Amino acid sequence: MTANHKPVTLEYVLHEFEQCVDLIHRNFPMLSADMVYFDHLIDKDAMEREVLQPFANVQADELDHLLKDTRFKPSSSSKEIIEGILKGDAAIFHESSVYLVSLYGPSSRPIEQSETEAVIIGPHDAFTESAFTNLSLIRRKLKSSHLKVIQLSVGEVAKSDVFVLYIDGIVNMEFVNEMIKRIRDIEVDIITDSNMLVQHIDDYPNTIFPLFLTTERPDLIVSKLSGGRVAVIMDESPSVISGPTSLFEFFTSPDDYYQRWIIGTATRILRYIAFIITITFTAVYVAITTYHYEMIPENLLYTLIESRSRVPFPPVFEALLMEVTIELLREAGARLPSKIGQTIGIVGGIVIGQAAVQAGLTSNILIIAVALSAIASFVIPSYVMSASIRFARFFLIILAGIWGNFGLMIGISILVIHLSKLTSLGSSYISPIAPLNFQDWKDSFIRGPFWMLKDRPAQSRTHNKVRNKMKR
Amino acid sequence: MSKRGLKLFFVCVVLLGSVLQMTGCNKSQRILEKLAIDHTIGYDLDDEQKLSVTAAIINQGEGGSEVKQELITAEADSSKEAKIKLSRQTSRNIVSGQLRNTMYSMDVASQGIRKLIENLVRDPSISPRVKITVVNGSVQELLSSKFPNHPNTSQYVDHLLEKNWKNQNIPQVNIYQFTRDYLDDGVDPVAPIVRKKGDNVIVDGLALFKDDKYVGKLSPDYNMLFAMSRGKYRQGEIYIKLDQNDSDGAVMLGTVSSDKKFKVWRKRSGGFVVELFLEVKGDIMEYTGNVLLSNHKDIITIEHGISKYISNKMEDMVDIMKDKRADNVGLGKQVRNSISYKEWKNINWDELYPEVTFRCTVNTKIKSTGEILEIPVPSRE
Amino acid sequence: MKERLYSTHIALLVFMIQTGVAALSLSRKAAVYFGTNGWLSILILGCVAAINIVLISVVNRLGNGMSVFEIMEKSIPRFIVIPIYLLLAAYLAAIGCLVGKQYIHIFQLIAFPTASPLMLQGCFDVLVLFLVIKGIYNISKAATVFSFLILWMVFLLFAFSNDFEFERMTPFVFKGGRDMLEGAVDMFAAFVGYELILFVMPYADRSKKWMRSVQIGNLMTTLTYFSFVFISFGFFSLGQLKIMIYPLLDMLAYIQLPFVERLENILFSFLLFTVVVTSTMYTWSAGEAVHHVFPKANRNIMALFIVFITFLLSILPDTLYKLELWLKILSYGEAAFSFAFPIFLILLLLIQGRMGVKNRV
Repeated sequence: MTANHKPVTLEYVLHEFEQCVDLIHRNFPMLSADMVYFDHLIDKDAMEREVLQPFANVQADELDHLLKDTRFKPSSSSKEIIEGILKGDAAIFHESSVYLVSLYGPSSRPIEQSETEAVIIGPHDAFTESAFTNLSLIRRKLKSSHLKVIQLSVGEVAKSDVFVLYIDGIVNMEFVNEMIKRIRDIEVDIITDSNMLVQHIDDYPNTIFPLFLTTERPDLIVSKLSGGRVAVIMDESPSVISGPTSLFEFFTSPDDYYQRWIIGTATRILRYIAFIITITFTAVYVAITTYHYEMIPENLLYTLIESRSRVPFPPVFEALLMEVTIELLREAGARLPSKIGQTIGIVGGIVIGQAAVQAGLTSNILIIAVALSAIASFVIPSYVMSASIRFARFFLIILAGIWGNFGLMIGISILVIHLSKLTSLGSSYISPIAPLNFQDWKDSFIRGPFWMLKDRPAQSRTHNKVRNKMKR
Repeated sequence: MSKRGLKLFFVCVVLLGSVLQMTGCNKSQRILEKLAIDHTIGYDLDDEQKLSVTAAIINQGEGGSEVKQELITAEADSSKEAKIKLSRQTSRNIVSGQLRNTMYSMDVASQGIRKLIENLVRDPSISPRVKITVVNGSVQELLSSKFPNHPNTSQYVDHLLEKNWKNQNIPQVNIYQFTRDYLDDGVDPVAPIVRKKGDNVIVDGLALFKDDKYVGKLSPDYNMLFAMSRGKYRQGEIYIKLDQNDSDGAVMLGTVSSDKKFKVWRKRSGGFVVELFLEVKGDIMEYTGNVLLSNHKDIITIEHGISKYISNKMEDMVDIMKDKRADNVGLGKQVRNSISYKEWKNINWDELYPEVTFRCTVNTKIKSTGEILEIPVPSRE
Repeated sequence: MKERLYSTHIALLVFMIQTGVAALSLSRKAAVYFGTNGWLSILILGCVAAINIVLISVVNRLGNGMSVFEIMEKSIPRFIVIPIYLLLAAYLAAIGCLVGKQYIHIFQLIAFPTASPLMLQGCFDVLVLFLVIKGIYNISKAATVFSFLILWMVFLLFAFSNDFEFERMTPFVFKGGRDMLEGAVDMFAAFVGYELILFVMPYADRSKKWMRSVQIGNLMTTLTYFSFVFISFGFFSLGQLKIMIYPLLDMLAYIQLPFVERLENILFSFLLFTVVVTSTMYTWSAGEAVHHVFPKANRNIMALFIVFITFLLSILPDTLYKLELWLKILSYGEAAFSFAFPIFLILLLLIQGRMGVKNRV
């Protein structure tokens, strides 16, 4: 393979791609030229326009002249040529020299709405699997020469393209360098999605919380970039990574900014309430019915006793049973096509819910608690985060079943201790709380009016604190 | 390496712990439906002057039948001994974390309820909001009577007291407030009295305590006045019979609110004068007298009438208390706060109390007279 | 990106170390020892603590941020220092574990009369260990989050506005109390904890602001204590306050919300956060001391060792009475330590300064 100095022959390349039936080898006997490419990686129109038509119009002796055009990139390294062909270039062999012409343009999904991060108002375009489309989506929204893109590749076998994006002059270069270093250090065969890439560049692999924000929404990434964060696009993945990330970013949605600030703030607070409900509601039910009967107000007492009286299990098992049922329903609903998914909802919601109470397997108050906390978990905009929180809930329910309120608080303490240990790209994961920065609270716990949001978040450690000012 | 070892250690400890706890060696569980929950405890004295404890328990019938109230009685020297005796009579664990009300027959109350209350406070599972009620008659009889409109007697009494307290008919008296007043110098506790009357239970005035002993009863007429003397009074109603010559009739004042203020003077002869200034505001809801309500001057006479009525009645009330040597209004507190600590410690308030002169000055303001002025008398010509 | 302790974190950390279970009985102690209007004593004690912190900041300034161990090792031979360290470590660890034990005991009293205290204590100690091995920076971060989880409780004081009466407070100041001086030391136990800042010094950032934030932390503690002791003097009558063992607990039990009653059950569980931080910081400080005896030992193993020893120690006092007696004795020592140790260090530093001048000459 160290044939860098030897002229690369057509035979060598063809030998490399032995048993690759999808490789096209085209011969131009008139011009004594050969062309090798993957048909499905190139754009047919471009091929016609860039190569075939010019070739048809030249004589054999004019070909040399034509190949001097800049779109034909002369190459002498076999590695480069093979990589080029794999990336959608066509390799043209003429006499002893080889030229690469970029004709990349595979068929891809058009820009559509995001399924997982649906919006009501605001831009509806979402990232697609094509990195260039994604880059274009970002460039279109961020017309600045300061937006820098660095190309890397990951996967020893797959060699996927990864682009690191940042805005020069806003970003703290420590983060960019750290991100690049981590991506370069990845040693695996293949990474198929950016959500998988994220786990390879995590600070702590053993945590249930996502340490980087991944999103399908270009407007979100653009705002993260302008906040001084780094974005990572991976080719063939519709999610884009942004970092460093704080826990509270998962509770914000671009929608908050498209509404009046009071409404946006209310929505955001609602999400935090949803978070608290998700994580504690069922656990509190378990703690109270198992240990702290005295906390129940009198009006509720009779209803609770009555509905609990026919249930044969202790509350903790009752709650776990229902929680697992809900998770099963959710997972089944996610896997099935959407039309059948609705049926699952009906079966789960009505049949299981009603029947379980009537059969005396659970109390109806628990059903409400479980359903409420499940619904609340879906309020959280990030699917990854909502899954993490639902997982943490199980842990709290079990602890509440063991020690009641004490267990619940032990569980919350463990969560807090765990969270305060976490870092994202080396910066604190619970950012506006610790390190404490009240200035940032107006853009994380509430959504302040725009005149208040003058500063970039402290977590990005930018040297260019004030928004809407660019150092030249 | 060691860090991983530590983590493994944690996981092991936590898992072991949870397994141990979950698999049933956990005795501290108090699963809701497996409890017999005390709602009300009543104390009576039987013929041999022995304490008899009655507990109204919220009990879950077997096999998911309706939740109902159960009554069990035991004779015991103390409430806790009674609890042990009571628990022999039921299939579930008796717990008192949901206790709402404690009732004392007048016999028990007049012997002093300090010990009983002390044990209620001592038990951390008992809420400081548990009510204290004196029953005119036998507690057991009251609790075991069935009231047709109210299937659950103990709950009925509890709600009755709660409603009356919210309307400020009676003061709120729970363990916390009773102990607070009992242990404060210069004020004695009170408690509402209830009584069975036909198919209902009624609030039968206030029990006056001297320290922890029941000494006398204040008729329900004084409920409102007592509330006014104790604290801010809001949104109440008061019915007043005026007996002035020119404005005979009765006035019903609605949305009454009052503010109180005490002032203490020294008498020349030694002893104290305590004066209560009340500012009462209200709307006329009902009026049966002859005064023209449209006339501003006459409204002032009504106001004066009301003021006089309230102040007389208030002084009567304090006289009743003085008679029983119970300082339930808290005159002692006012005197204490007006003199030096040394002096307060030197005087014997119990002896001084009946000698204290109490005066009440009321300033009534009628805010409105309702939606109409007056329906004119049909003129006979 | 070297991690350091921000000054805001230190304020909240100090607040979290100081507040603890001692707060529950503070109003009673104020009533018993100081009598009428005993709440004023909280302010006095807060000032005393503030003066003590000034002493500590003098150590910081003279020593230029040197750790206490460095200061001591500079002029005291190692064979004397080592037993001092070990004693210090044992002492701090003992306080740390007993504070936790006291919490567990009270929790058992109100909610789990039959649960095994060993189990609860073990669980608590695991939590402490879990936090200790994270290092001081993460402890401070966790303390910040914890403090937000309990600071909101101050608003609960408004729940008592109905039963609060100024007349109950009486116009007399400090009448009807006894043993005021002894009581003051006893009550001071609720304030100690800030002296651990001595061990944190080398980890803090160099700015002068952080000593001020220790003061702020102490101020927060004082104000919190003050507000609820003040409220409890108007809520309970004096005689009642004197007989209540944990008046704060009874106050919390009195709060009633439409959807939940007997809030003391859950609110007392919230105190776990501050107790964990207190216990952790004492254990961590003990670990610091031990670390200077065995500089090469693995810190995590050492932490495990300390926590295990303290766990064994905490089995010993089996009644709440005995436990509180132990704690009382320890906190007397702690109060003495928090004054004596900085003074001792200041003297050392002054001697060192003089020697340094001499050497240069």
